[in-house]
Amino acid sequence: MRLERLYFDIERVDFCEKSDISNGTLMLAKSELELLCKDTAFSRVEIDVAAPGSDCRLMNVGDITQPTVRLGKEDTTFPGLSGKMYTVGDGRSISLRGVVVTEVVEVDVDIPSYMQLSEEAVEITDFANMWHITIDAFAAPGIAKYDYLLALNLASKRVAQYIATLAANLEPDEIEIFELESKDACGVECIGLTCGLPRVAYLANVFCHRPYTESLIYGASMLESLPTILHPNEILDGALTNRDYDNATNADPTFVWQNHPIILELYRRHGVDLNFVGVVVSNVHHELSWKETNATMASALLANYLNADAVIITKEGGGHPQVDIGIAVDTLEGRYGIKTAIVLVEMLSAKNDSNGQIIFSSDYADAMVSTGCASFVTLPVAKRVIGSNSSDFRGNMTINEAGEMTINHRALKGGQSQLGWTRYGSLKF
Amino acid sequence: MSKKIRVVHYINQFFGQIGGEECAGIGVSVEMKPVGPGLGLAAALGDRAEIVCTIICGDNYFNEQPNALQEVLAEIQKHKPDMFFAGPAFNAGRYGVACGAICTAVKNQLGIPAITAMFEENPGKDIYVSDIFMLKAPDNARKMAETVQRMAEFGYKMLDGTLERIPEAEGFYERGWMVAKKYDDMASKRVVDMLLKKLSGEPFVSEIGMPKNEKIESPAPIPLLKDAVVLLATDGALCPQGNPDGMKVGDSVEFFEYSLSGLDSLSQEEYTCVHGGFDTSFVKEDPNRLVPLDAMRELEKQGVTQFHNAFLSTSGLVTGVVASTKMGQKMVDYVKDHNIDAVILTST
Repeated sequence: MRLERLYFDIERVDFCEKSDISNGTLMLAKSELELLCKDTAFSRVEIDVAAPGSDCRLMNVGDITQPTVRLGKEDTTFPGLSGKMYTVGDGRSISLRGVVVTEVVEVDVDIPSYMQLSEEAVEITDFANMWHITIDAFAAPGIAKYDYLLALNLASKRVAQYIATLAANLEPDEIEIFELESKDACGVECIGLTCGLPRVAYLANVFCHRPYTESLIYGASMLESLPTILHPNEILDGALTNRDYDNATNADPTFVWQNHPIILELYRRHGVDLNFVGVVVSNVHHELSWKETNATMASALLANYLNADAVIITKEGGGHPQVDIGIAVDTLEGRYGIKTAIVLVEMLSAKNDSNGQIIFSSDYADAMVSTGCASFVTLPVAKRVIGSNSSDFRGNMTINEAGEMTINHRALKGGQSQLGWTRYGSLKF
Repeated sequence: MSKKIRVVHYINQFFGQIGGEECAGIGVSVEMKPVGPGLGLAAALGDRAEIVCTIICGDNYFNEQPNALQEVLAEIQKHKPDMFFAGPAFNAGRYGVACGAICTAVKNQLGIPAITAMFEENPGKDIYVSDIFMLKAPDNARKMAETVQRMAEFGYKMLDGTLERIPEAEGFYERGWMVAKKYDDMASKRVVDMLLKKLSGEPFVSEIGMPKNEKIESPAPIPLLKDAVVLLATDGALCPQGNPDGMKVGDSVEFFEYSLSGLDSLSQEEYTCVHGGFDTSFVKEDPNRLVPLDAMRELEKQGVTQFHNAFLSTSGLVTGVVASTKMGQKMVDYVKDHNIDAVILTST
């Protein structure tokens, strides 16, 4: 499976009469984008642009998506979701860099996220370095919350596709090829090189907890699904998206899946010091029997079908998904002799006890990388605010829409990534 | 020349040159000069600071008199220190506990650097190590000069804000806390590096360790359930409507007791749930599904067992091991005070 990603660097975003891209400037016609977002779930939609370094704040941020389109098969962009079902990860896709499509949610959610584009935020999240095309959608009277969220999640994907299409006839700034396969000695094409390098796979534990607190695979929740194997190209090409609104600080937005840092790192080193053989996705169910089933079956896929020598494991969600990791580590190492390394955020104690961050017990879990602990940032007064919903953590925190605001890193979109999209870790003392 | 930094030093009756074990019951006294190890400490502190007084107290007095800590603290406050030292206590147990308790109180109430040092097996170390920066010291006073030298240097670092939170480099006992740290490499690169090292048998350091948990034996079964008193407790944050005690949604440090006297069931009009980490709608609809009072009354009617007429509640969300252990110890006191034989803990 060969995916060619054509990158276009966007340095500026402006509004104008007709949408276009020229010399790194993305020009957008508001009316065109508003039309794309039109839905009976919305009473109105406001399209706006927030520039990096502009002291602009976005309230109650939903999903963030990188503009992308699958060339020649445009209708399969975000397959199973806004596009029609089709196995993606091959062919040519456009990716715009430096610009994202960002949802601004106007209904109450349990634990909201924010974005601010000032210096203080740049220290914490790379999203603060990007242009944000915002979709600020207001719920139609009487519309159910989930109908509203469904419409918003789809609108951002349609806008992301539309914007990327503007680059279709232009010369890309860079082209990157993603291909794992090579021919083995018999001339058969296999996943992974047959060159004696260690076979490394990736186990992505996704959090499909309840409707709209979930990640989607080809538009479907894994709430009651067994684990499955995916080609990493499918993930980079839009098969895995985020639809977590109520607990969004515990999950990475779609952008991070499209640019999954572990997949990209494994690709960079594929054929150099390792042999990247694929991805298994598995849901972290809240029931123990499901955890046992999923972690056991995921381990079997990694051992028996991907023939992995070593596996990197991540999770989404909060504390209990650690149990899934514990079962998988014991099965992979204890039963199959497969080495593991784990990415974990240290968030089980608001007071940052270093001895209380792991809730499973395993003799094998001896290689763990931290993506940070509880840490606060004070964001200065915002000169401009997009979004009006200031729903907070169940009344536990006072949010002044434009004023100085002290929030946990994780409440800033991209400030906590369980997929490893961060330079943060922790210092124990 | 700028004003000298004011230092107060605490020592016990032995190092205060009053006497040994026979004088351990002696109360609090103050000398307006460095005494005993204070002479070495003063020399190590140099010209920048001055030991304005030495507070001396018997080890038994401090550990047995309920007001001793307040007495010592009042004396410390009187002399307006910028920095406080206690000990070093080496392996003297009661002395170590006193040094730990006083430094913790000084840090919390006066907000100034409070420095002590002791041997790793000193009981004061385990009790107070999570509360304060505590310097490592050998088990006896032979290395006094070196120890007070390190204490002085450490105090200046705390005062100047140059202390690095690296236990090995700075010579303090690991406290069990952490802060955010930004690496040069993304977590995604670090994990691939670590995996390949593990695979090839090269040394690597895990960024997170397995917790060192206390092993707790299961208690013996209750011989006769019908004679036992059972307590209902929950970490699911059930509380009366309006949350009169202001129970937090998480990061808890306390639990609350709510009476069940005269109630056969918990109604949604009177009880609610403030937990911040799960979908609380089912509990709000029927609070008995979190604290099963309705089922408990039924069992009482059948004569199966008896229940304590109150339940305990807290919110078990992002509540660390240190805070949970402290709450757990207080719950044990509650259980003992109320002659309870067993506890049903409903968790969420």
